[in-house]
Amino acid sequence: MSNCISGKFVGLTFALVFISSVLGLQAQAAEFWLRADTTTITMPDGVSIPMWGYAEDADQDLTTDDGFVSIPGPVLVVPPGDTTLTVHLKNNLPVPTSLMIAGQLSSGSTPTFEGGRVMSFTDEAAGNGGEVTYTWSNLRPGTYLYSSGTHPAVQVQMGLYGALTADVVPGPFCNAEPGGGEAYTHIVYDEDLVLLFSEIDPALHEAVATDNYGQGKAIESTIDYNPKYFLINGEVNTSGKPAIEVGTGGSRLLIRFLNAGLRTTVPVIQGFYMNIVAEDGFPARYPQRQYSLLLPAGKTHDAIFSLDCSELPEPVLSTGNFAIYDRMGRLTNDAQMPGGMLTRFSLVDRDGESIVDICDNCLGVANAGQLDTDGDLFGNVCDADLNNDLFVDFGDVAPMVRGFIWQDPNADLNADGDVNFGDIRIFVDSYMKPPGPSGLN
Amino acid sequence: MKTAIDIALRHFPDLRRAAQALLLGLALLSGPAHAALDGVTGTDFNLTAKDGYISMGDGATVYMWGYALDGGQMQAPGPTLIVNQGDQVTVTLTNELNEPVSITFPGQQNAAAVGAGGADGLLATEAAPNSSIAYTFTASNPGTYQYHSGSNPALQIEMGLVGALIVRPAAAGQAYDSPSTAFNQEYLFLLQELDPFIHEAVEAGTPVDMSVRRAQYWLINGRSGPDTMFPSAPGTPWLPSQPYGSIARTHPGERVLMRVIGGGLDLHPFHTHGQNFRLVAKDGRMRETLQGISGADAGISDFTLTVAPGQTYDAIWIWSGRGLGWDILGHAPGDPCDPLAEECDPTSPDYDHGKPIPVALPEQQFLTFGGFWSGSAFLGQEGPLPPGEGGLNLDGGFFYMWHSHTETELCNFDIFPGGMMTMMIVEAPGVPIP
Repeated sequence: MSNCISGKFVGLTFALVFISSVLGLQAQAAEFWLRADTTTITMPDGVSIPMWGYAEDADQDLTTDDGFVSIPGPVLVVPPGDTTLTVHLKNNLPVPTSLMIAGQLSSGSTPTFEGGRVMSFTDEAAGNGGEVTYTWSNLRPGTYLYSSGTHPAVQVQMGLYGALTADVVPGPFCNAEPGGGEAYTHIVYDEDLVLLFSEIDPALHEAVATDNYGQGKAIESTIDYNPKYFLINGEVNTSGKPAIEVGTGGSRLLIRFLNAGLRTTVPVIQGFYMNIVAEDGFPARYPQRQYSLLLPAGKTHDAIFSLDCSELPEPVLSTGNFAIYDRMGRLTNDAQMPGGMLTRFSLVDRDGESIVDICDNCLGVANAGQLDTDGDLFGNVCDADLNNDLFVDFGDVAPMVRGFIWQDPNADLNADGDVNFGDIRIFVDSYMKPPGPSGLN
Repeated sequence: MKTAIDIALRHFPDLRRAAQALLLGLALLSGPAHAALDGVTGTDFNLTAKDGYISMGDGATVYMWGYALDGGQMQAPGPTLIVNQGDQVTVTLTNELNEPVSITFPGQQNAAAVGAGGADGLLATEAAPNSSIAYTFTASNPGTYQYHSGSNPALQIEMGLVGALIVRPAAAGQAYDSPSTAFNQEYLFLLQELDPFIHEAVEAGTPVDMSVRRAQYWLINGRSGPDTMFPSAPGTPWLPSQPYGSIARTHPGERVLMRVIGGGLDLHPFHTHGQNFRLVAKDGRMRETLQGISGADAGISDFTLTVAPGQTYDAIWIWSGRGLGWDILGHAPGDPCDPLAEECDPTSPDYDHGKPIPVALPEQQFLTFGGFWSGSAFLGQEGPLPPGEGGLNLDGGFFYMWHSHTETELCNFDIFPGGMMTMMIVEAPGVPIP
């Protein structure tokens, strides 16, 4: 739902670390160079699984094979407002492959036929080094799944899938924090992340990799598809798996849900509700509030999670974490608990005083007491801006001196109940900086 | 309507035992003529996780884990907890199983474990075997919710550690704050499915692989058809662990609140014969538009509800005889018109008062009979029946099957009929509904 009220640290800038490690490389152009190739991934139980996947070519030159293959493929981030997308695909797989984006109409690309049977939805790149270039000249904004358009029942589940995001140009009224954006008109977010669901049937992967899949071979079709590993962003849950950190920017977290698997999943948020703002790249006319999401194979949904300190339930704030898990029960790794489609999120607490950043009135310095005598939402330890002009400068010197002499509580910057030289030191450290979260960094 | 009777007769000719028991149960019940939801009211609940057995429609017995109330019989599903908005609710869980269990309350955002004991489980603080733990939450929003185990949840949900939670708003007779959610009758349909081989393995203590699970029984409120049509406890002493029936009854024109819960691990398309429903809420939150329109006014009209595991739904279903082209009550033109059942405005295109049914019923020798056929096509009327036929529809109601439209789920271990089906009975105006 459109919500143009930002967090309380309006106007302040501080470095944002975008969490993208599990998703591979971030790209920032509307032209991408991808390579379909083989790789293997190792499950936590030690099982090694042959995969097919996409790599983003590092030097944008497909003659050399650089860039690593990731499962899922790299998130293709189309710059806001771009309506043309070009993807160059090189195919190092032993069989032909192709690329499609469900919900986007490619320009000039045609299905391949063989003996009257359709083999692909778009132009194919021949196996063992073939190349093809795709163009989408009328790209719609939104969250989409890109995947193989050739023999999808086999090639997609082998790992040939990834997320594509295309935001609109931010409008004039709703500003996002740095690192945020506007996903659809009026749907503004301060931070976003992709949750891409998929599954692996190890027997099928082994058969495909060892040429035991196909007519007259050990496995002839995917009719007995029986996945044993259930992944979010290419990873299964394990005990002790690190949480994804959120709550680094403003209060609006956009989660882009995609299901690249062949089975339905029902992600449930443990602890609170989300606003479901879009489906298959179309914004919802009336976003609905739910704690769960029906996410069938091939579908995408966007949802806004309000990480507002005054809105989040107490258990989430006090523990600093929440979870998303599949309610269809795919919570095992080859039958072993814990595992499968469960991922945890932790609310960032940079200064470690057990008050998460979204509730903290001073982000850079531990101030468990949260003392804020002038009530401007900046804790005293971050707030040498005694004349409240949003900058600590010469105009604050006189109030600080008066505060030192007359024991003004607003000048008790270190909250020790007394205005003394410790507070002067903080004042000096804060000089020529804005007040607030980074005032003492 | 005739179609629904046909379906009932064609598909369920051998359900007389169920229907007879239904009538027996109805006859046993007395008291105020207002439908109450089966369940337990209060603010403090004591649940015990323990094992036991339930009975399937084909006579099979399945080993279950379930939540028992006050140390009593294990029951499937767990007790329906009925609380009021604003209540501070405490649920104390005692674990008599041999692995840790817990309770998570999706949608109750402030639910947390309180007091000493307990360990971090996957989704909730859990109680070790032979220990107890308490959870509290403030029931801040009205609606239909579920609770289930947050420990080893895939297996424990399969085993039966699931129940319904109803939070009533301040306004009596409404599901939510919006008047568009007002109802005359309300019924709960908690949908589950189970794979008996998993239950056998758990009872035998052998390993289970949930990824090869394949359900064979499909349940509404813990029972598979035709047991769904038996009355609720205490009318069914032979189903001691399955106290909740799911037969639904209403009068023409009344508002029926359907509270539907995806309590299992699979999807079920729940189909209402007779009339569309209007989806009011999902996950305990009313549908809303940006203009502030909410509840049924912002609802979606549909005849099949995609019930996903973990989700809950509220829908309003209203049946009337309007627009059928004939008078469902069998009135003559001079008879008084019943505004709840019929359109009484002679200028309306739906005005059917006094119009006879536009077909000639075949001779009896060409009809197939069944227990639900009253002998008359008119609501509240009976007609001549051959000896030994009918008898299960003494009030002359219309029977509509409500069921999963994944038709394989209308089976009990491969045998049709059974599974995820029950009946909605539209009774003639004035027929008491317990």
